[in-house]
Amino acid sequence: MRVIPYVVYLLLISCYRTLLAGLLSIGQAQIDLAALIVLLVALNKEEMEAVWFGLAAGLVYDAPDPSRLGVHALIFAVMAVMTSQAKERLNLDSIQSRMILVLAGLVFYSIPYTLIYPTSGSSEFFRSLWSAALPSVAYSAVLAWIFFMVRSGRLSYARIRSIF
Amino acid sequence: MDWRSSWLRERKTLVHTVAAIVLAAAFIVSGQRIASPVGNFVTTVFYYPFQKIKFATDRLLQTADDNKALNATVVDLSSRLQFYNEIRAENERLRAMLGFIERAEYTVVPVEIISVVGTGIPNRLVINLGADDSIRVNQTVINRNGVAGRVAEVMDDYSVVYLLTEPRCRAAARIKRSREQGIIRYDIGRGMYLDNCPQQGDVTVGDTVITSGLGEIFPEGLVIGTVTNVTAPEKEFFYDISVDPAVNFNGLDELYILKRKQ
Repeated sequence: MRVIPYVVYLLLISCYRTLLAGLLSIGQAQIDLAALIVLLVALNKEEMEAVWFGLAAGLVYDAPDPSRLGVHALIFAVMAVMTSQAKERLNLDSIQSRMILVLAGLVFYSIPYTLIYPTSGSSEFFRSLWSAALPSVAYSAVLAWIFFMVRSGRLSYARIRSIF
Repeated sequence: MDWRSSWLRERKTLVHTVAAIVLAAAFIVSGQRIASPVGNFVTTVFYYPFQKIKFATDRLLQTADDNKALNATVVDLSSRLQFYNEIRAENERLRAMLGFIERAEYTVVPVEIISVVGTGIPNRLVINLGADDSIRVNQTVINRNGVAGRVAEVMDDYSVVYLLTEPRCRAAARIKRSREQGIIRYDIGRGMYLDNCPQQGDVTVGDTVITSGLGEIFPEGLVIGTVTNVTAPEKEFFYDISVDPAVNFNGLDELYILKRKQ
């Protein structure tokens, strides 16, 4: 039964990649949903589960292009280890501290991946980083912030309705 | 063995972490021989249902686009078809008319109506061709149903046509079946009638009245109308024959002038 939520997360990643990525993208900025889910799992679960989930998420992410199989698995596994280690050493009670950790994780994910596979049509690393990777990090961070706000109860339907 | 198992238990997380990272690295360096089957398996399990949904959605959207384009094409083709049907009908009328013209050695000149004159029923027209277009007085004006009138006055670039409903416009006519002759006249109160047809002649209701060619204004054989009533008044020499004109003078649209070939 403990595996079911992780299977649902993996299905969410594949669903997003297949159906929703194009619809939710803004210019070249896309939500790094797989990285976000791995980070959130690492923040909320034990290190061992996070590492294996990172590996599985990376494999699912790279499955449509087998020539890249393992790259995301490695990045996500290392990202999960780093996040879990940071979680044990830092005080992550506040949303701001969790956001800093998520931002760091997203940047850690984007930089090596952009270095290995720059965005098509622009061969330079910095141009890819500036035009696609960093906007995607910002977009994903906004989504993470909304998630934390909703989860902590600071953002809810009742609160939004009370504004109007 | 005990110290090994206890070491592993104490460093369980580290062992799992190293194993996961080594496995990921192994996938990278293994090449297509391992990556392809694993990739295919994962794709089948996790991506196939969503790919089916995506294909179905794309096909639906494509069908909707095709449907919209086809609807536009249908509307376009329908309007073209109506246009071509109109042209075909006009062509048939003109061909029928050309057949007649060939026989009678006349050429046909289409004209446009500029204005219509007359109270109740029109009796005069102004048309867009005049002396500059070789239009002459007394040339016959017809439409697809029969004789409409004759050219009465000609200016440089327009002409006045007297229709058969104009009392001053008379036509030498005959009954097509029996060849009985008379003169077509029009009276506002009485309508169109065939005058000067002797009571000894053979005239019945339904007979077609055509031009006789006498008087050398209207060519022979053009349809004028149909006999609707025949009476033989006492102490009169001629029949009293009412004629229903073939041309609808209230709905004139396409008119042609007959010009004798040189």
